[in-house]
Amino acid sequence: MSARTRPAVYLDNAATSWPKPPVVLDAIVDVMEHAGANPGRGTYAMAMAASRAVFEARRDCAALLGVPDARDLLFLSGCTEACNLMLKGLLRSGDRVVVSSMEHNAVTRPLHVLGERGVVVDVVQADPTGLVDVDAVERALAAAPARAVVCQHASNVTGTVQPIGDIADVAHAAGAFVLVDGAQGVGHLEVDVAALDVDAYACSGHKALLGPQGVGLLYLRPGLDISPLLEGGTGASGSEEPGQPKERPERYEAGTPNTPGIAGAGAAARFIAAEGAEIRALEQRLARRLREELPSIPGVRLLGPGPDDLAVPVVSFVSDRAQPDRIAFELDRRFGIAVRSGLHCAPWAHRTIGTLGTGAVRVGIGHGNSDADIDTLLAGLTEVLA
Amino acid sequence: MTPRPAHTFAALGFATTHDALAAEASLKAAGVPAVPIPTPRELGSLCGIALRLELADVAAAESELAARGISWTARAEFEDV
Repeated sequence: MSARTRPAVYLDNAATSWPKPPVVLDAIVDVMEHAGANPGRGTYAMAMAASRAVFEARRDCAALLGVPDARDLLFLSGCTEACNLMLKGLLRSGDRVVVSSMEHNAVTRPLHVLGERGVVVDVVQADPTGLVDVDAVERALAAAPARAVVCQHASNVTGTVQPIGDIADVAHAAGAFVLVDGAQGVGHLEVDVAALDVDAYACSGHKALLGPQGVGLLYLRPGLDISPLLEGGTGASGSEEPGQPKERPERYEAGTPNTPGIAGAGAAARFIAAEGAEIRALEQRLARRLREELPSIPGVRLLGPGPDDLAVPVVSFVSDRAQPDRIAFELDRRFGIAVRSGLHCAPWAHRTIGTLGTGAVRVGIGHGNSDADIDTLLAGLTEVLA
Repeated sequence: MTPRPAHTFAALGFATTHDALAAEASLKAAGVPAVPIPTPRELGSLCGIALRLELADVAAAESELAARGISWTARAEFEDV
């Protein structure tokens, strides 16, 4: 690796956050150096160090997310696996699911497979800013019984924050579970799953949580017994049994875990618990500034929420002067600005906001950004589109 | 070679690694000595982490764990080898 690969301005934090806090890097290296054994598989000193690293990470991630009992928070390979588990573990042929039109492929593709297996998938259309209407969800639930409502917490395209608490209320009133893709929520928003009253909440470890790639989390409400995606060894009591243990978290964590990554996620959770308010204030200020100033560049059209709307710091736009891929390339080539063009793995969302045919340029703001980065982006974009 | 004096200890078994680690942390905070050991088969499984306790500490340990809502699956007594 070389310093030459580092962009001058990194604004792709919605894909994955960078840079990571030094405490996250330190935690990963420390585990690999001093706790490199297999957690839960022995009681010699290094195995216990590995077990404690996972235990403490789970405890601290649970505290950050408002999970009352840490055993209800699972470590998985990423938010995609978490979404697959909550959907495929719960839904069966004949079930009906109500889902928002803003979902990422991590939700829509598992639902596509489930649709082929006999699950009925009904889509609730969001408005052109990407906001899901709670009344529309309620109407969809009134039309026919549903096993679950599936909705993101925040859009990875527009940054729109969905009214999850209100959606949970109408879903539960209709007897449906609420499954949330929180990939863009955790870190950017203060998340309290108990207060939100959701039944499952999937998280990414490597986005605004600021942990490493290769870790995701899934909260499951106590008593919600879904089927595991994987079966295998857990190291824990009950190895003699032919089936997967019933107890959490082992029931859903077959195989050797990503201990360094989990330790990094734990360090990230502690970092966010301490610094999150300041980070969120910075991100919100920069995103608001971008949403205010982008439309003043000739030819630029801001997508999604306006400056005064509730949103995470994910800002997308299009231009009538150049395609998104050309804009992203020129921003990188001329100014070293890293942004993301295309569909952002979310064709449903782009269809909803009217950009399925073109995609968009997405700016993902993170904890490492500053006003100078926004200055550089706005000046560079002005020049690219001149 | 002088034989070691017989020593009897107790061990608690747990359903999950998380429960065993939660118990260890709880007992440490309460000042009750507990040592992680491989689960003896007498506790109902050959895998997982158990906690070894001095017999004199068993009552305090179980009281502490019960107060914290931490469950153990079994308790047995053993002679050191």
